[in-house]
Amino acid sequence: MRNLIRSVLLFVMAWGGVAAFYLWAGAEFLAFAQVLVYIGAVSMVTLFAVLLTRPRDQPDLVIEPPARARAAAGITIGACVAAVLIPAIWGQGLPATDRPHPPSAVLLLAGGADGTARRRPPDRRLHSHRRPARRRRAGVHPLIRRTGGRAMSPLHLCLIFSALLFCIGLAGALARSHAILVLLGIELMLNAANLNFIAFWRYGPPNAGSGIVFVLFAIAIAAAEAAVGLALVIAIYRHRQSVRLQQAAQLKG
Amino acid sequence: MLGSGLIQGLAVTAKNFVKSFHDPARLVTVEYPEQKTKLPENYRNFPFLVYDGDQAIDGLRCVACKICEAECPPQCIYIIPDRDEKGRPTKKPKVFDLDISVCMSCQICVEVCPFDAIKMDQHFEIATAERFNALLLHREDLAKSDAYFHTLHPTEAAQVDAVLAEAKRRTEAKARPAAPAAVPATPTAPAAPAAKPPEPPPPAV
Amino acid sequence: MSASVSVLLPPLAAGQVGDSALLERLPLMARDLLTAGLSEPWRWLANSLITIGAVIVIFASLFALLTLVERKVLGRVQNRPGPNRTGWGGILQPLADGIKMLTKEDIVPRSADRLLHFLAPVTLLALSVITFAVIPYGRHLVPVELDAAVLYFFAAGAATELAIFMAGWSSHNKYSLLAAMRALAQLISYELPLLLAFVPVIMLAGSLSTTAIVAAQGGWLWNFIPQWHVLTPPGFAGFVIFMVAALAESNRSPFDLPEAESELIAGHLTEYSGFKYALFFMAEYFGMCALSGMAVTLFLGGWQAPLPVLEFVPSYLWFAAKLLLVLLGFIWIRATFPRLRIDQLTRLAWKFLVPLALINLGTAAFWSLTHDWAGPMQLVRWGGVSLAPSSDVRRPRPGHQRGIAPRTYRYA
Repeated sequence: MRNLIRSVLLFVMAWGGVAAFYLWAGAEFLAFAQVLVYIGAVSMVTLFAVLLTRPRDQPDLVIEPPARARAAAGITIGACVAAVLIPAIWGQGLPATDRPHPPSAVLLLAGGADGTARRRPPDRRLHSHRRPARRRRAGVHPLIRRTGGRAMSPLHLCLIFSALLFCIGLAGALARSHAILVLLGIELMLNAANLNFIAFWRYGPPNAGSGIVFVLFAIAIAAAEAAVGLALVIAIYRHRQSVRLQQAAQLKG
Repeated sequence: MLGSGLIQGLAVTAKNFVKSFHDPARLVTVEYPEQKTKLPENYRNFPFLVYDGDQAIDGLRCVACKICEAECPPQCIYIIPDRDEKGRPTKKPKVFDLDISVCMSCQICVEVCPFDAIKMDQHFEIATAERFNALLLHREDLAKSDAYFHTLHPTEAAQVDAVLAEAKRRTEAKARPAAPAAVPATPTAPAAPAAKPPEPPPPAV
Repeated sequence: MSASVSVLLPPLAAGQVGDSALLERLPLMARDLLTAGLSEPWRWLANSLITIGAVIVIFASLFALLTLVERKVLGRVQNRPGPNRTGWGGILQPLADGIKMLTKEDIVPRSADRLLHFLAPVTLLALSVITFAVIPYGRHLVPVELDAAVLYFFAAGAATELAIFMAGWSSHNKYSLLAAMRALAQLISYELPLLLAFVPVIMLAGSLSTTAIVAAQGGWLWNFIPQWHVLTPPGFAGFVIFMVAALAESNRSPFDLPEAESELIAGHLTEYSGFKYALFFMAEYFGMCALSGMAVTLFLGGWQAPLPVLEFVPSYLWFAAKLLLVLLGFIWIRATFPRLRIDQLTRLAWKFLVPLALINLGTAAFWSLTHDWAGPMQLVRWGGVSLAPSSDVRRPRPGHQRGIAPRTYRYA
C-alpha cells in the first residue's frame, strides 16, 4: 500500500465516510456538498498535484517512510492530544436530546389529502417517519449499553469519533514530510472539526441551522485551501524538484 | 449570427436523414451477399484452364508445355505432363496445380500461353477455413468451359476465337496438298506467327 | 438516511385525480400486488428491490436500444442503411454486441494495478446507476425522494471523475494516464457550467427537490402554453448551456476527446477489453440518459403533458417521450458536428459558457424578482432579459484573445 495514488484514493474513501456521517445525521445537503466538493474537486486537484510532483528518479509514486524520530514525535503528539480530548469528552455531561427530524417536503406532500391513503393502512404511512429512529436504536444504542451503566448519549460517541479523526490527522500532518500528505492530514483535521459541528447540530437545541452553515463555509474554505496549498506545493516542486518539506526551509530564521 | 453555422449543419444532416427514407437513390450501399455489382470486363484475379467441348479434362486446351510454369514469377504453377503407356507425351497435363495463396494475379501465364489455354478468372469468393489444401487448385478445379470464358471476357474471347479459327484454317490449308489455297494465305502468314504450336509467340501487343 | 427517504411513496397531489388515475398508478399497483403478502420490513425491502430492478432493467434495455438507434440514425444521416443483418432490420444487433463483448478475452496488463483496474469500471457504472434514483419518471414514480435531489444527482455525477482517473492510472500506460488527465480536465471544466446552468431553475422553482421542480412547471398559461422552465428566457439560456455541458460531461461528440476513436486508441480505455470495456460503454450511455432525464426534469417540464387535452396520456409516457427526444437530439448533434480541439474545448467552457451562465444567474434573479410586473413593464422585462446574454459575445480585439474568437498562434 506504499503508493501515493492509493493513499489519496483511500483518503477519498475517508471523505466519503464523512459524507455518509452527514447523511446519517440528517444533513443531506451537506453530504452531497461534501461529495461534490471533496470527491469531485479536491481529490482531483490532489491527484493532479501528486502526478505533477513526481520525483524524477522514482519510477513509481512510492511513499518513502518518514524519518523515525519524526514519525515517533507525530504519533506521540497525536496520541497525547487524543488522551487529553477523549477523557474530557467522556467526563462532560452532554445533553442527550435527539430532536426530531425536520419533516421533509415529501412527507408534507404525502400528508395532504390524497387518493392513495385509502388503500394504505394508516400505520404504514408513519413508517417512513419512524424508520430512521428505529435504525439509530439498532445501530448506536447497543454499543452504548455495552460500555457499562454510565449514561452516555450518541453525542459522546460522535465527539469521540471526531476527536480520533482529528488526532489521526494531526499525527499524519506531523509525521509526514511529503507536502501533499501533510495537506491531506490538515484536511482530515478540518473534516473532524466539521463532524463536531454536525454532531452538535444534530443533538443540540432544535431549530438552529448554524451548524450546517458553518460546515458549508468550512467545506468551501477547505476546497480553496486545498487549491492554494497544492499550487504552493507545485511551485516548490518546480524550484527544488522535490516536495519534501525539510528542503523548503530556507526562509527559516 | 452566432451559431448560424451550427444550425445550417444540423439542417444538412436532418435533410440527409429524411431524404434517405424517401429517395432510394441516395442509399449507395450494395448489400453484398444478396446484391452484387457487375464486375468490369477486365477485372481479373486468378487463372483457370479453358476447355472446349463437354469433357472438362479431355477438352483442355493445355498441352502441358510448361511455359507458364517456367514464366510464373512466384512459381505457383506445377505441371506434370501426361504420358501414354509407351511413355510418349500425350500433350495433356496429368497434374496441373495452381496455388492461389501464392499467385499474384500478374497474368503473365496468360500472355505467354501459345494455345490460349489459360485465362484469368473473376471468381473472388475464395475464403476458406483451411489455408493449405483448400487454396491449392487442381486440374479439375481449374478446368472451366469456353462458354464461361465468353461470359467473363467477351471481347478477349472474340479475339481469341478469331486467332484460333485462323490457326485452324491455316493448319487445314497446309495439310491440304492443293496449292491454290496457300496463295491467299501468304499475305497473312507473317501476321499470325502464333499459329505454329511449338514456338512461343512474340509478346502480346 | 434521513426521514425524507421513501421508496416510491405515491403522493397523489390533491386535485390531480382525473381519468388517468388508474393508468398513472398502474406500475405502483402492480408492485403492491407483488409484495402484498409480505410483512412490513420485508415489504419495504421488496418494494425497494423491485424499484431498483425496474430502473436498471428499463435503462439497460434503453441502452441496448440506444446503441442500435444511434447507429441506424447515423447511417441514415450518412445515406447508409446502418446495421441490418442480425434479426429483423438489425433489431438483435445489441444482443450480438453483448455476446461478443462477454466472450472476448479480458486482458489485464502485467504491471497494472489489478484492484483499481477492476474497480474503475465497477465504480463508474455504480455511480452512473445511482444517479437514476432521484429522477421523477412519472407523477408518482420517484425512486427516492430527497430534499437536495438535484445536488445529489450532480454529486454522484462528479464522483465518476474518480473512476476515470482510476482507469487511466491503474492501466500503467502513459497514454492511458495522459488521456485520463485530459478527460478529467474536460470533465472538471464542464462541471462548472453544468452546475451554474441549473441554478436559475432552482431560483425559479425555489426548491432542490426534483418533484417540487416538476410540480412548479405544471399548469398552462392561457390554457395552452406550458409553464416549463425552458420557455422562460433564463431557463432557455440555462437549457442551452446545460445541454452543451451535458454533451461534454457524457463524452459525446463533438466533445468526445477523451476517447476520440479516430485519433486516439481509446483514451483512458486503452487497456480495457471485453466486458470491462462494455461496462465503460454502458456507464457512458447511462450517464447520457441520466443527464437527459435531468434536463427533462429541470427544463422540459418533467412528466407534465404539453397541452391540457393531452393529459389523459400517463405521465411516465410523457417523460419517456421527452427523454427519447433529448437523446435523439444528442445523436443528431453527434451526426453533425466535427470534434473540437482540446484548446477550443477548454476555451468554450471557461471563456464562453461560464460567463454566460453567470450572466444568466443575474438574469434569472431579475426575472424572478420582476414576475409581478405588468403591462409595458412586461416588455421591459423581456427585453432586458433577452439582451443580457449578448454581453457575453464579445468582439475580438487585436491583442486580446477573448470570447469565442478564433485563436491565433504565436510561436517563440
